[in-house]
Amino acid sequence: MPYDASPVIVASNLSRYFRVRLDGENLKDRIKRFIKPQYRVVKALDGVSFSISQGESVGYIGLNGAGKSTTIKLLCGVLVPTAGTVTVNGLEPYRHRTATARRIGLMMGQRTQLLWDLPVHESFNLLGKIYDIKPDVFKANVKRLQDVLDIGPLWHTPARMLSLGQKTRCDLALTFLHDPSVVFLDEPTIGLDVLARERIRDFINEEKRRGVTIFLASHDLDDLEIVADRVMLIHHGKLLFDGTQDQLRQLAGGPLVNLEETVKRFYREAELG
Amino acid sequence: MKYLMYARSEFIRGFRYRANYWATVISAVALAVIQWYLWHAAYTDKDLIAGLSLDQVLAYTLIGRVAAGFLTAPTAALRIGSRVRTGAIVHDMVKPVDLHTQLLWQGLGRAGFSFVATGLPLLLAMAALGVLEIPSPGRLLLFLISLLMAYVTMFSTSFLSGVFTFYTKTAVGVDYVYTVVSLLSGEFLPLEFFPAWLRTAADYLPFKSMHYIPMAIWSGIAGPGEVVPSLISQCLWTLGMVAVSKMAWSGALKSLTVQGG
Repeated sequence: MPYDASPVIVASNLSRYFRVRLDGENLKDRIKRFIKPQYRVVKALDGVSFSISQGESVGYIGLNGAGKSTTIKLLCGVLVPTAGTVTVNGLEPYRHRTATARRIGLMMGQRTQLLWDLPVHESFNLLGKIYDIKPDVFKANVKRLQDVLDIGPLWHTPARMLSLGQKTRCDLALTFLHDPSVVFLDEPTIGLDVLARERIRDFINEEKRRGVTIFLASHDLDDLEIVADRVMLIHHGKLLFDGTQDQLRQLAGGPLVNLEETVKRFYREAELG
Repeated sequence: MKYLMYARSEFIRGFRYRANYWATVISAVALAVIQWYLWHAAYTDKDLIAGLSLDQVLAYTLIGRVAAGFLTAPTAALRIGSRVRTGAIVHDMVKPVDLHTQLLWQGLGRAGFSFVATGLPLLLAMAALGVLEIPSPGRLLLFLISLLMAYVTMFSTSFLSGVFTFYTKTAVGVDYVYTVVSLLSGEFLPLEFFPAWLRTAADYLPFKSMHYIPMAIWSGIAGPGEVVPSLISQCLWTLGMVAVSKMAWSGALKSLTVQGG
């Protein structure tokens, strides 16, 4: 697929460290550290560089705690980098959080952004106003998302009465409502059944074809296999691999190796150094 | 005006909780009845207590019950600390809105529901029964302005406490502080009943802007010469508290994005 040559996301030597307060081993230690805290530095992301073009779809994989969510937070402007730089649509997200927010979408599979007590359509109306979406655009987008994700029948149901799959579909629709140029999806299919997953993947592929840049972090490698043109693999805050799925398989021994085996081998080799 | 949508969402949310609504109505009526009997008993063989007549104190406490729901609505801003802990704040931060303004309007929506659904019927019922007299249109208007400023001061104080819990990582301390605040704001008693030293302290603190001033305007406890100076001092406190809470928020945002919470 031809990509627009201009990069949407550019990360260069991007790093993010956290300071974690140490707990004591015993009471004496705890008292000492309560009075005079000691810290340990955790490198959640350590010198990662990449560039993503408009319309590209990237699968971001890593074990729990590898730095996936930290990366997404840095790209959305929720965190300031400890070192290195990042730009999204040409802006540094944390300096221009509001301007960045207008053009990105974020969906976290574990956390809904639906108005909990209200019918689904109220959440859409609210976001429509927040993003200043023109009424005719709003109408057209709602119609399209209702059709593709089959959420029309849920329109008047209070969010808290939806099943997980229904909620995820509504959350996805909300994420794409304002025509973002980049969408970050953090484990969008978590906890869903096979049919629901398939539907979500089809939808993401559809949005990909419309030219939306997709940044998909997931543990479900099937998601990535179907959706992602490009795979980035991080481990302990470092980028282990960045390339196409075929290149990844090639490195692991041939085109027939399945992605899961490939990825596992990568982790094992990284552990051995 | 996109923030109006936040108020609207919270306003219509009120209609979702029927049981909660009736519980609120019953407790509002019960508290008003208790106040009525309590003050009648206190005034059995006295005409004035602390310089106030029974009618003044009744008007003060009963309109206080009417406004209670309106003024406690913004305490939800206290939850901002827990939004940080649970990570829900990430969704707030990737929206092109200012969270401080968003919470102000959400609270206003809740306050509006509470006023329309509980406060106003209670007020009309008490007026119909002759228990509570409605002041002159001029005083009524000044009362409403004062009540709105009380809301904003209350919101800013809650928001500030919420930001504070974000640093302390727990809201327990703040709950205790709140009891002191509601005492000093005049929510339980008109400030006239306080010993001189506490009265002086309350006069120099922002809390009386959160309850005492509007209720004193309604009940006539604030004499004709006192209304305008009270409103001016309330206005200054309101602006001051908004500025302080906004500053605290931008500081918290900085530490959130730089230190990661």
